[in-house]
Amino acid sequence: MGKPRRAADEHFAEFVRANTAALLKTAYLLTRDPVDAEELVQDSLVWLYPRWQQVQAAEHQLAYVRKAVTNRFLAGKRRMAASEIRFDPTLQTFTEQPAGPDEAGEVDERMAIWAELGSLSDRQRAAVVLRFFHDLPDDEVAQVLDCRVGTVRSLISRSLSALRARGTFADDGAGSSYLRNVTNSDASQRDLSKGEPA
Amino acid sequence: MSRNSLPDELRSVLLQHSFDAPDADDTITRILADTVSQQLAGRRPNHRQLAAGLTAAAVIVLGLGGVGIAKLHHDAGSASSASRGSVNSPAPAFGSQDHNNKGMNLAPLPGGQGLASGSTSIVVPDNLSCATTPGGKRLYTQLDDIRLNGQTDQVVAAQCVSANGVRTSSQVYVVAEVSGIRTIRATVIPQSAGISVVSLAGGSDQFSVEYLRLATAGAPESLQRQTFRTTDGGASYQGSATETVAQACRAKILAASLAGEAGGRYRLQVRNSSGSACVLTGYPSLAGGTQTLRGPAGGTRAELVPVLTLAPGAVATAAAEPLAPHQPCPAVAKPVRLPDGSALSAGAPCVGQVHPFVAGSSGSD
Repeated sequence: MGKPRRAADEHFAEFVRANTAALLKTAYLLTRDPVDAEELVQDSLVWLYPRWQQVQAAEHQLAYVRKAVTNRFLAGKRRMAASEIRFDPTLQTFTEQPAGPDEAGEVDERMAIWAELGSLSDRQRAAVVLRFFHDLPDDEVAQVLDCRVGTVRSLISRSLSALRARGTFADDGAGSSYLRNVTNSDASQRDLSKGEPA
Repeated sequence: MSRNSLPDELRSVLLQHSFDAPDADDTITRILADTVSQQLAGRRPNHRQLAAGLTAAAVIVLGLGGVGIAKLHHDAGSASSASRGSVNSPAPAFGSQDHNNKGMNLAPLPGGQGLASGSTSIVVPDNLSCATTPGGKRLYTQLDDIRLNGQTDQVVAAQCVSANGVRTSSQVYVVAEVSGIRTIRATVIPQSAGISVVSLAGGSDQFSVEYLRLATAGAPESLQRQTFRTTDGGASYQGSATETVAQACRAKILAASLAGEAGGRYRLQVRNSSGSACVLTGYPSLAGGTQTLRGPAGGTRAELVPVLTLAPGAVATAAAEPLAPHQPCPAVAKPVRLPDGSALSAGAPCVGQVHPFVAGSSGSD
């Protein structure tokens, strides 16, 4: 084993030890399943391992890997066959039903939001996680998702609309500035990241 | 009305649920075993590593029938087999080309005793690669007393076993002692055959191996048996035609019921509704379920998942614990799947831990 490979291995191992926990959080919020999250992170890092010098060359290495995790999540989800069998815990019986909003709206608002996140499309959820968990600006979310900034805003706008239907919030009525911006942006196709007025 | 705006509430919800992400330690171990440890596998361990591995070895004696006695060497010291490194071999006559070679310890172990460092153990290299079983173990099942020309050869099944006790691949050797050194005389079933050994039996100049034929994805397809015989004093072995003992139990031939019980536990019971025996081994796939050998709801006390041959009408049961209160359930539940991947018609709850199928209706053995 040559010195460059050994150095890359050491960097890889160090990165894995330092960042797997953070990547698992992202993966768990995307997949909503602990086993799927583990598989997603493992699969992504094993896939990146032979390409690790590209990661080392990246300006923001964790962001590079997070993009790989997100893209592999989206790619994997496209391959998976959808299954719509649901369990009704109150009846202890099993019924097949079409996909639809989760019935957790009566629990509390936060549980309702979490449940509703699960009914978003994978791309919508990925945009929401990157925007609100990682606090990435729209243009960086767009880079991760390989799409335009306007598309990111559209994804998030629709996601927030769906979540909004599940509860009442302090910004109801007047609407949050983010939502106003998104709505106006959608209407006028203006790029808010460039400081244009809403 | 919430005092927070929706984006603030959303940030809070995401942060709160991010703490439910799985612990990183196991994932780190598996990633490193799949990557850098592969590079390091060709290195020789230092003496401290070797001594630790030997001292940690435990022995479980299993009666596998037939004349011989099988000893299961449970290498508890290899939480990650691929990262353990190869073991020094006094006679690297076989398997030395394989960089993943780990060596197998074939000490003449008295039943039930641990293997002490500095014992008379003799290490024989094997070429079993468990790289695709990250976080798992390597097990060696040994069948004594294949006597040939006054010698005592041994049949050894070397197996990769995943962390949840599922056999993932195997190979079978005949090991001989030549001039005081044990070497592999013949590899009768290579790892590339895609089988998983269930049992060894025999003696004298022949032995039989019962194994699961595995599909590409690792799911069991059938239980098969093959007999190997030597006519030249052990220089070579000829295998008989493969006999299929039973096909894998598939969803279409099983009647399944999933019952919720007190304490939120579940029991998934299946009954062979066909007219012929089928083989069932492994875990059902349940939403959110972490596969573990045993837990409060049931499971098995063995170190490997049981291999069950279900006669017509026979029943097997897998138990599961409820999801922890703070653990989220996927919004779209997954169907219950058998180990072979076929889906049962009933839907599934989210569960915390799920345990392997065991014989009978109790869910535990």
